[in-house]
Amino acid sequence: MKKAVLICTCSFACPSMKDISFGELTERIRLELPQDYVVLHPRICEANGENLMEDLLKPGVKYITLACKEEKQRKLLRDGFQRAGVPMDENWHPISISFKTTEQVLAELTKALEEEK
Amino acid sequence: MSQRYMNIPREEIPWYPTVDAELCTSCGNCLGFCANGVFAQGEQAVEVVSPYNCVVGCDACAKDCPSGAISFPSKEELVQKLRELRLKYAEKQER
Ligand code: SF4
Ligand code: SF4
Ligand code: SF4
Repeated sequence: MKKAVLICTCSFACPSMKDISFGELTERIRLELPQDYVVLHPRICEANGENLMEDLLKPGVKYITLACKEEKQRKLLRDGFQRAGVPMDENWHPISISFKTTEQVLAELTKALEEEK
Repeated sequence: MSQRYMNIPREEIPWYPTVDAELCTSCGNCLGFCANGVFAQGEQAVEVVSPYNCVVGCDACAKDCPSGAISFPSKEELVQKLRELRLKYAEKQER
């Protein structure tokens, strides 16, 4: 399966994500980690993000989403997956980036990408 | 914590939830949902205790409130307000 990393920056304004440098994170994922592509969006749980998901998501790709708490993502991203016709169970791997640093996120994503091999 | 949004002090941006105490059942959903400590349980209903911890433009918790007790200003109002504040702070910078 292809692997795509979808990063939700929560408008670069979420206090729980203040220790993440989204610029460094995105570039290091692109340069250093084994994925097929990276997408950065300010608010994937809203209409604009759902439109992106509808156009972008397809079967055969594992979407690793970096955003708020996993259970919160499940509620907020469900409609986007549904609109794209892609089953969340098979194609989705959420990672929470709340209260983490850039390094911690990179370490967790590295582990997730290894698991998804 | 990020104190500014688009170079505007966060406290000048009127974006945060309002809880209708009549509708709130104190189910606690919003307390677990928001990572930023915006809400706390009050005597009768949930209260907004740290409004400026709310992420500008986020209204995710309203979608998760089973009673429809949480509301936000409209996106149009937010856009208009941000336009005014950006102008104000751009002028300040020029001085
Ligand atoms: S999905 Fe989560 S992290 Fe992304 S904008 Fe919505 S609330 Fe914020
Ligand atoms: S989710 Fe809604 S009903 Fe439940 S405690 Fe929060 S405001 Fe009250
Ligand atoms: S809108 Fe988002 S940041 Fe604001 S109180 Fe609700 S969940 Fe928290």
